[in-house]
Amino acid sequence: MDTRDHPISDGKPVTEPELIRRSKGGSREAFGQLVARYQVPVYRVVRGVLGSPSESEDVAQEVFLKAYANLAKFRGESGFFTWLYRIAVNEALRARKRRAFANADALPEVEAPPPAPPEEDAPTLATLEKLLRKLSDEFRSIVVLRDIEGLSYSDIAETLEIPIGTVESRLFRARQELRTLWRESKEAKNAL
Amino acid sequence: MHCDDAARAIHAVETSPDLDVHLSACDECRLLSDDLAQMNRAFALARTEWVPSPAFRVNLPLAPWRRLAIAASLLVLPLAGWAVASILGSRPDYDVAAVLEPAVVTVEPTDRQLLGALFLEETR
Repeated sequence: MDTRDHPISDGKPVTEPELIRRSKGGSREAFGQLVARYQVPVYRVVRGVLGSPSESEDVAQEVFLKAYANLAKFRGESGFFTWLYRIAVNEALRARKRRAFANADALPEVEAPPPAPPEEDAPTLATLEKLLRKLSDEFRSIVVLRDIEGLSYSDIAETLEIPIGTVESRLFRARQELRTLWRESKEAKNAL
Repeated sequence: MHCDDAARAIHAVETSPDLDVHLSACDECRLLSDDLAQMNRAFALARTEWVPSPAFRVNLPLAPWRRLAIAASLLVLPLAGWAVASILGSRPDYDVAAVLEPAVVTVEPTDRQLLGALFLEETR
């Protein structure tokens, strides 16, 4: 993790480890700086794993609250962002399970109307979001961390707490499955 | 190059002359390469378009010592009010001046009186 400087109210630049140290000391302002830095990637991870734009902000908020409450447990053995991403993935999966559990008793979920066909034969973001939802939790998480967030294999291994070899093989299988779904989606579109 | 090797190279976004030769001859691998390229464009779109709304805020809870300070101040203010009210309410309802001895009025002697007193003293 890099230690780029962050401005803080007293005008002096502060490194990320210093921000973490101040946050541990109870500085809400320091933690606010960390939130400002990571709110977009955390939101993206949550949205990719959860697959629900409407709930993603609430879950992202929960991620930061959980991180703030458990900051004392962060000992700096792993990178701060991999620790934060781990919380994000776990919270998104938990929210997804909660929703699935709630939907089991509710009316069947109404499928959103299919988006208008694009001008060219290019896949849309809506298609990607729909297909990601069809992947298993393990595959979806790893695709989001690698292909959307661009994490290295070692960072993914640290985030998901799995060996690097498992990252490589799981990512390969996840991409294969996503590509199969992609092809099926395109062929179905072409058949219309 | 075999299709399996080509697929691994395409997934790893590797490029090589061997792969190019293979892709020019293999429809299946070319299709895979095109699909992955399109998927990568969709991933890039996700990176730019999946952002929280401008209204997104993280409302952090107050630190425990701050919560304690607020609770203490909320407790102290009514207590102080109650103390003041109880002091004012318990005052005796009688005239203090009535029980005090009447004040002795002392009048400064005039110069004439002083001189008179001195004169009397000397003639005595």
